[in-house]
Amino acid sequence: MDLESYGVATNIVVILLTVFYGSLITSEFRALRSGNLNPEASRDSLSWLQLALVVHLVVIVIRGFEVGSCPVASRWEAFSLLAFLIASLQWVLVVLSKDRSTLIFGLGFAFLLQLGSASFSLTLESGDVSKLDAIRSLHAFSALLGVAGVAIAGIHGILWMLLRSSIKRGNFGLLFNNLSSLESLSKLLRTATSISAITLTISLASAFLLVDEQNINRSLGYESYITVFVWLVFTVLALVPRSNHSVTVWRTLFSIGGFVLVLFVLLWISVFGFHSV
Amino acid sequence: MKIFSLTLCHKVFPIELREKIAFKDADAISFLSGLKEEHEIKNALLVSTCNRTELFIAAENVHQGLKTLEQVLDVWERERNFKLPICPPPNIIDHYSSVERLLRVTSGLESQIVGESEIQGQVRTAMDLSAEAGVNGQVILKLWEKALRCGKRVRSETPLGDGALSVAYGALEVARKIFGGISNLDITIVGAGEVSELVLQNLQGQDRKSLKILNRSKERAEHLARSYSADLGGLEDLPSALINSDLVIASTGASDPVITRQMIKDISSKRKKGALLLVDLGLPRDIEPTIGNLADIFLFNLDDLARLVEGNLTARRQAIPEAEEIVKHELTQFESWLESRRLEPAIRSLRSALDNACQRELSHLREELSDEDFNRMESLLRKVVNRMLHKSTNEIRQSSTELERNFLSRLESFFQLDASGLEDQQ
Repeated sequence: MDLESYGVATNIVVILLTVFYGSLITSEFRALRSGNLNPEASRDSLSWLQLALVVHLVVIVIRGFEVGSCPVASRWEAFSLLAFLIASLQWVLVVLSKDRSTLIFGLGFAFLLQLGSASFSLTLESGDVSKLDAIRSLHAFSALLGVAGVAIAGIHGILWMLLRSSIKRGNFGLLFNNLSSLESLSKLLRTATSISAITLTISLASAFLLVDEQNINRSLGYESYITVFVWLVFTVLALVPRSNHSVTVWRTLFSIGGFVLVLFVLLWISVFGFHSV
Repeated sequence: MKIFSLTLCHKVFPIELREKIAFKDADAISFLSGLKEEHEIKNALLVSTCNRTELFIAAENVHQGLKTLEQVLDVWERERNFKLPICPPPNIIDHYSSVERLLRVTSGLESQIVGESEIQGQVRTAMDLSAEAGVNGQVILKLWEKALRCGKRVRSETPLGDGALSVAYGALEVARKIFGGISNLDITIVGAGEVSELVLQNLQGQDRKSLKILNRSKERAEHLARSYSADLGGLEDLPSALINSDLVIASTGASDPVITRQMIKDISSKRKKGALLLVDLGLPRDIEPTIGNLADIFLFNLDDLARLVEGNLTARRQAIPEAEEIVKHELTQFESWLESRRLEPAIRSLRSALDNACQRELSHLREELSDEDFNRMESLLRKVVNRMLHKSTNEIRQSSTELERNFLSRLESFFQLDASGLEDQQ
């Protein structure tokens, strides 16, 4: 396949995935309107999400075979993989907690990332296809999973704060009626925090195997320092139990901070690309 | 077959009358059995709750339906010693309105609190009574299924049943929003007045970790504690209750706040739990309003909860047209089913006439064909008849409500059937 037709095929696949996520948000919005917060109540809608995730996974696996490693070398690949990981993580949380009230927000973020991926895929160049070794693949994949966890934790942190403020002010509006409960959001937040702490630990451990004196300067960018900082914070957050309300307030604030840093990292990647490539 | 109903509900009749009409389960079964024996009614449903007693029957014709219900009403008045007022008259309603009535009742559209869900359970149970009395015929069973389906759709597709509609229930709704449920909560009720009892009524039947009632005078509190399986204490136990509780609901009638900011500050270092929800249902207020500014405290008073309840009520009212659309849709479906049922004898007769014609023609060939060929020919003709009738009978069933009254005579002229035979079967 020549580069032009390869590029067209890639664009079509990436745009189709974007449309998938867009449709899922619409169906989720309808599920929320009808008050089906329990995933058991509307299996159809979750089945479509599962289908979208399977399709996305197949695309990622095919691309992985094509490049012979974890497909994160180019920006469109990294954004698409991150979108997949966020949507998958959100799905896992829904299945574990039986609370789907926040699914629309996770999917919304995945949709934006997929949209970013689609826009990067439009400027596809031959240099975009590069191969990573096994450790680099593990490092990149776990880093992205960690970033996905931080993003999900941040989203739940923001929602927890908004719901808390809404209840405190006696504002029984949209958030009060559509989000499940502070307790449930707090549990989801803790789970997402723990997942990101574990995966960021794997990512950092694999990074040590990659660093040598020759390429240390090339390997370390701002996003690396930020990731180490986020890892430290999230490890502490994961270790602290959900003892009282104030702990949750602090956990939430740090999660929101982590989410802001994730946005910064994404902006960095979208401008300068991945440091490992 | 047509549906008729006798409706005695809260919108027209006061509680004094309704309590005389209401049926216990055993009485309902015996009444329905009597209906079957004395009036030959095989399809009946009696929905009897604190807000309504409604009897739905399916009868062969208008005369039988209306006469039965009038006689039933006479018997009720005599046996239960009451007289319904002449104005408004007792509500005996005809077929279309009766079907719509049961769908609306089951959907909560006719409830005192619009959208309440208990009625669905009550309608569900009503069919058990009909089954026990042997009056659960096909038509009433189908109507009952439609009504439950309609109620389920209204609850899942519209916000008609969403949100709390009493201040006490509103307090529990806020608790659920904060703690995710009330089964793991330590709850303290301060005061033992009417409002406290209302809260306890709302808590009844729901799991909770512990329940404590604190009151200045222990006499009335003791009675409440016994009735609602709660622990008992005096107001001097309030600080320790604040340390150990997740939800404190106060309604004492005291002129000064019983829970002060200083009290909360004093206990805050000893508290090892999560957020504390304080609900002030007292007037004058029992909890100092500035406590709501503290970080781990959620404080709500009567006005806050009234706003929550009012918002829910408005949302429910807005959902009524949406719910009515669902009722309309289910009503049309039931009518189509009932009409298609009316056509069954005619369709059977048509099929039988065609089968007979085939058999007549085949009999002429009996001598000329071998057994094998004859069987093949017979099978072939049956297939042709089935194929011819399948599509047309389906279409007739589907468009049965639009067919004219003289449909049967047209069917007769088209296919030259025996009209008297058709009428007999009908």
